[in-house]
Amino acid sequence: MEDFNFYLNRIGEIGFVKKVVPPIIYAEGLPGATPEEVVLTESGEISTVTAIREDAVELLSFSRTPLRVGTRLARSAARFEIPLGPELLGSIIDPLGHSLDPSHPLPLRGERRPVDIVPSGIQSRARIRRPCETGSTAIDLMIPLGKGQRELVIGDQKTGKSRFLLRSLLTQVRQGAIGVYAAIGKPQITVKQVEGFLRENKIFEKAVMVVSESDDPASLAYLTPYVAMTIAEYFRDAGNDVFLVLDDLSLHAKAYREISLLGRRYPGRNSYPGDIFYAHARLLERAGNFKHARGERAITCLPVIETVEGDLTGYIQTNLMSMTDGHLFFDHRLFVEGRRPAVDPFLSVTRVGHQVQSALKLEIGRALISFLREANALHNFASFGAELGEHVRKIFAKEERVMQFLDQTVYDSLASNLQLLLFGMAWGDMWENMSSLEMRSTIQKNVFLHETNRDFRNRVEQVIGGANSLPALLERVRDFGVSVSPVEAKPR
Amino acid sequence: MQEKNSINEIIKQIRTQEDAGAFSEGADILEEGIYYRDPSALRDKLRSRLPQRIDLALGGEADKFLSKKDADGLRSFIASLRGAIKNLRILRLELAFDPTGETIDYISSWVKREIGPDMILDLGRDLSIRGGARIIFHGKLVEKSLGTMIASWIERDREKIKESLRHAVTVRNQ
Repeated sequence: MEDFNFYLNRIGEIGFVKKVVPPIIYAEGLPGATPEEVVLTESGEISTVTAIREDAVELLSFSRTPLRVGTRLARSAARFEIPLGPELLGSIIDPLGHSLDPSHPLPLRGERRPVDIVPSGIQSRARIRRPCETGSTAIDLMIPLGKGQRELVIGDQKTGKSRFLLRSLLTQVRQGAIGVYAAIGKPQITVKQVEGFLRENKIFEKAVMVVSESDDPASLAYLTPYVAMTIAEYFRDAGNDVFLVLDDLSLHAKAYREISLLGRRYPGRNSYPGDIFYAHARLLERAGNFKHARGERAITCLPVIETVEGDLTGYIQTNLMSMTDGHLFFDHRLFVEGRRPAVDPFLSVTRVGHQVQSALKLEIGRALISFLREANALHNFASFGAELGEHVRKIFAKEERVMQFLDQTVYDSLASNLQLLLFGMAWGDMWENMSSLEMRSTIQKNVFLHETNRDFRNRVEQVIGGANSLPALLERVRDFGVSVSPVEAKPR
Repeated sequence: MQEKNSINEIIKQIRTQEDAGAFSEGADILEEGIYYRDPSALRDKLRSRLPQRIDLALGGEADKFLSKKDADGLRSFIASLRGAIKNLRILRLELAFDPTGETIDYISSWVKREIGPDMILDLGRDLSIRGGARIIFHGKLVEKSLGTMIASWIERDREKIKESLRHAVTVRNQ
C-alpha cells in the first residue's frame, strides 16, 4: 500500500474525522467513498468504509490508538488486502499482516489478496475422501474427521479444547499439512503458550499464527479469522493441505456485536446484529475439499466456541452447529472425572467423517459407541446399589480397559495403525488381568517402540493391513504377541 | 418577503465558519430573549456575547419584532436564520499564514461574488504549504500550494536543472 500523499494526489479527495466512537469513525468529505474501501490517515492508520450517510462516512478503524477529530483522511480506491508469501511460515502476524515477532520481519512483496471474498462454488469442490487424523484415539475411531471438514469444537472453558486442537495441529503438520492458528482476542499468555507448544514440537516453521490480543480493538478481533482463512487459501492454492484453527468464534461474535452496536445497527437476538449468521457462514464456507491441479487440496477448519455450563442451545452455538459438518462436545463433567480428551461421544457428531473411514474402522467405531452406551446405561442401573452380576462386572472391567486405551494423557499423538493395535489388545481381553498402571505402561512402551523401532512399525503395519473386520483384527493382534520388554531404539 | 431579504442581508455578512457559529449563537440568544420581560436585557446579552457587527445585525432585526411584541414573527425569523446557516456551503482554504481581517474580507467577497452568496470560508493554517493554498470543497481537494508547484517544476525540468548544475560545477572547477 502506498502512503497518504500518494492517494491524496491521485484521487484528489480528502476527508476529516468529525466524530470518534472507537473503533467507529465518522468522517466528512470523501464524496466518492465506496463500501469496503480502505481509507488512510496521514500517519498510515487504516480504516474501511462501513456505511455512507448523507452527512458523513462511517469507517471502521483498525488503529490501536483512537484517532483525533480533525485528522485528515484519504481514499485509496482499493479494498483491504493482506500481503502473502511463503515467508509467512514460521511467523506470528497481526490481522493487518504485520509481524509481531521482531526477530522475524516480513518484507512480503508477492501476492496480495482481499480478506473477505465470496466462497468458491460447487464446481471447484470435491467429495471429502481422505481421513484427517487428529492423533486422538477417541476422535479418530468414534468421531472421525475428514480432510476438508469443518468440525466445531464446543465446550466450557478449561475442558481441554485448546490442548486437543494443538495436538491435532501437531499430528496434521507432521503428516505434511500447513497449520494456521487464529487467536482471536486472546490474552498474551495464551498466545505465548501456543507459540511455545509449536516451537517445542518443532512444527513452528510449518505454521502461521494470526493473533489479535485481548487489549486490541474489536475491529482487529473481527478481522482475524478472515485473514487466517485468506492465508489458508493461499497455501491451499500453493498445493498444500491446510489445518486451520479459529480460537474462538464466541469472542469474534462479541467483537462484531460491539462494532454493530456502536455503529447504531438495530440489535437482534441477544443484541447480536441480524447478519451475525452471515458473518460466520461466509467465513466457514471458504473451507472444504477442493479440486487442484495436483489432485485435491483441503482446508480443514476447526472453529471453537465456548459454552456456559454446557449449554449447547445458545444463539451463536446453534448457529455454528448448523453451519459446520459436525461438532465435538467437550464436557466439563468428563474433564473433572479425568477423561482426556473430555469429549462426549454421545453428544458429538461427525457428518462426513464416517465416509472416509475404512470398513474396519467403521466397525470399530460403531462397536465402541454401542459398548460405551451400554456401559453407561449399566452405570445408571448400578447406582441403585443392587448386587452386580458377573456379566455386568465384566462389562465394567472392559469399560475400564477401553477408557485406559482412549485416555490421552500418556501420549501426544497416536499413529493410526498403533491405535488399531492397541484397540485390539484392549478389546480382545489381552489386558484382562492388568491393573491401570500396567496398562498405561504397556501403552507407553508400545508408543515408544512405534516411534523408535522400524521393525516394530513394519510388523504393526503387517498385522493391521491384513485385517478387514473386527474379529480378524482381534485374531491377528492375539497372534502378534507383542513383547512388553524394551528393545533398543533403531533410527526411524 | 421582507424576512427573506433580511436573512439574505445577514447571510452576506457571514464570511467564515466562525461567523456562522457566532450567528448561530446569536439565534440561540434571540430565542431565549422571547421570554425576557425587558427587551433591553436581550440587547445587553447580545452586546456582551457577540462581536459588534453581529450584535448590530441581529439586534436590529430583533427590535423590529419585539417593538410590535410579535413573538411568533421572531420565532419564524430565528427558524429561517438557522435554516439558512445550515444550508451554507463551506469552502476550506489551507494557507501558510494567518490572514488578517482585511484579507478575509477580500477573499470572502470574491468567493461570494464569483461562486455564490451562500459560500463561507473555513480557514486553516499549514506551514508546509509555503505559499499558495490548498482548496477543499465537498471533499474534493485541489493543491495550489507553492511547495507542490516548485516540486512539479523541478520534476518537469529535472534534466535541464541537472545539466545546468553540471555546467556550473565544470565552470567553477575551471
